[in-house]
Amino acid sequence: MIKVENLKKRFGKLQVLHGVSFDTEDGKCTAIMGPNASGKTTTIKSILGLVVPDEGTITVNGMDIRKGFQYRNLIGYMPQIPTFPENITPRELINLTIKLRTYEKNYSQELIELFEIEEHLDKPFSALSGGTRQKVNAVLAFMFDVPILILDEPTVGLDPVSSRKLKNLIKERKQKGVDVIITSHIVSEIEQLADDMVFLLEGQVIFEGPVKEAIEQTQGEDLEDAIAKLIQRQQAA
Amino acid sequence: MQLRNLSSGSKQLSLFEHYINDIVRGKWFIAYTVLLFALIYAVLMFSFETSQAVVGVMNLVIFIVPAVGLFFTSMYYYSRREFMEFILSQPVSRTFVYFSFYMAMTLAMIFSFILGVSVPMFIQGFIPEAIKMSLWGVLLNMIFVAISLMVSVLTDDRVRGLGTVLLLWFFFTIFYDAVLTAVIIYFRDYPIEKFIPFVIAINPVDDFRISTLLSTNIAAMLGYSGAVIKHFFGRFFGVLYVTFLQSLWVIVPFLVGLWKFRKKDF
Repeated sequence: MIKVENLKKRFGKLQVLHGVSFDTEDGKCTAIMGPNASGKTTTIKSILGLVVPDEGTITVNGMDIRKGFQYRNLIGYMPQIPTFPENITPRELINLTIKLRTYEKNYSQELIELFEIEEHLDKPFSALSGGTRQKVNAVLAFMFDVPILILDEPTVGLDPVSSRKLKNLIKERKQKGVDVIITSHIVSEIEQLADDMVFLLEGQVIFEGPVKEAIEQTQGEDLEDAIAKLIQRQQAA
Repeated sequence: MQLRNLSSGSKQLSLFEHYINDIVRGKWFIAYTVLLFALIYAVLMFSFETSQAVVGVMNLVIFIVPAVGLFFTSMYYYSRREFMEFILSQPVSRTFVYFSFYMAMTLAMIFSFILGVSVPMFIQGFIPEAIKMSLWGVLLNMIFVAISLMVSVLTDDRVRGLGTVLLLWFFFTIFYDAVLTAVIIYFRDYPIEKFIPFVIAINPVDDFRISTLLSTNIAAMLGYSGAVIKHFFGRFFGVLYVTFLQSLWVIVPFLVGLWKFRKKDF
């Protein structure tokens, strides 16, 4: 479970987050949504400790993230566009990640078979397509039995078959009680996967709650319509 | 969720191993080592006495090692900037990541230095000089990797970062000597030698030159600042003083870079 309270962040003159607060629950998938430059990536990076907030607190399974780095052992992270060093191979990267974690067991072999990337494991990243890199990215995020998954645009660059496999994987983990946080611009994907939604606009949360409630509250036809109405309502206010 | 006991030390070692493997496989690293070896070997082939050999090697080292230390560290840091985000999203402390990066880069540079400078000196029979040159070479590499890493961490923009290290190299190897000479000539009627122990603290390249020449006892080539240091402190304490200055040149940039790295946004 992640609890974000009154998160504020400024980059130079630009105030990116204006007191963002929300909670996520175990066994549920929470979508962090919002237009470009609404603060989604800064929020995710703050949870991961990559961005240092100016104000506010973040707790991950009850641990204040400012008190150490060990909490990151609980998180599997899939960055949006992975930029792995060109001269190293997926196998080396998988092995490095295993060494940096403290899990007894990892599911890398099962995931390598699932995404059919065995033949690419010893090629340097420079020789791999965007889709294959994204599959390696998925293996790195899902290969441990972590209680929290943070997935930033996870299906970008994947073919429909692999995208479906990844979505099934997300659903499986959710059923096992994993707290999944996802960002995506593909509304249909969010409708399929997410239970809850946190909608950010210009660094502020303008909606937090179940996806169904967003549709009901705005009397939208579907999630896409609900999002459009949420933005209009905020701009009118 | 079964967890194994993993000490911080073994994580640190894994990260260090990763960085060092990544660096030594780079074409630039191999090219640098081979080129350094060839240049030093060529200089030594035309040196007929020890002082000539030491001064020849030292002059090459003063130009090449700071330049390579500054540029390669900076370029490698910027090329791995985005991958750093992946590393930092793992359960590792920022201090560990910074330290591993610094140690891997420094050891790779020292390895090149030993192969490219010390080995040809050994082959040509300048054994005591090779040992002394290696010791000061270790410090010189530690200094310039620390300075470059500090500049890269402080500067997000790659072009500005590389521009800064270029300016620093220019200042340390060319501009500083020109200014010092001008100052000495202009103020020759004043007792400026009193300020020399402080002035040389400004330039780690000068510290390397003085420590090498003092320790190998080639006093004739010391130059003005070196001669003043020898006169002020004597040979032994002169070497000690310059070593102290060089240690500061490692510690201060390393700590400034670490301080920024710990609170930096990625």
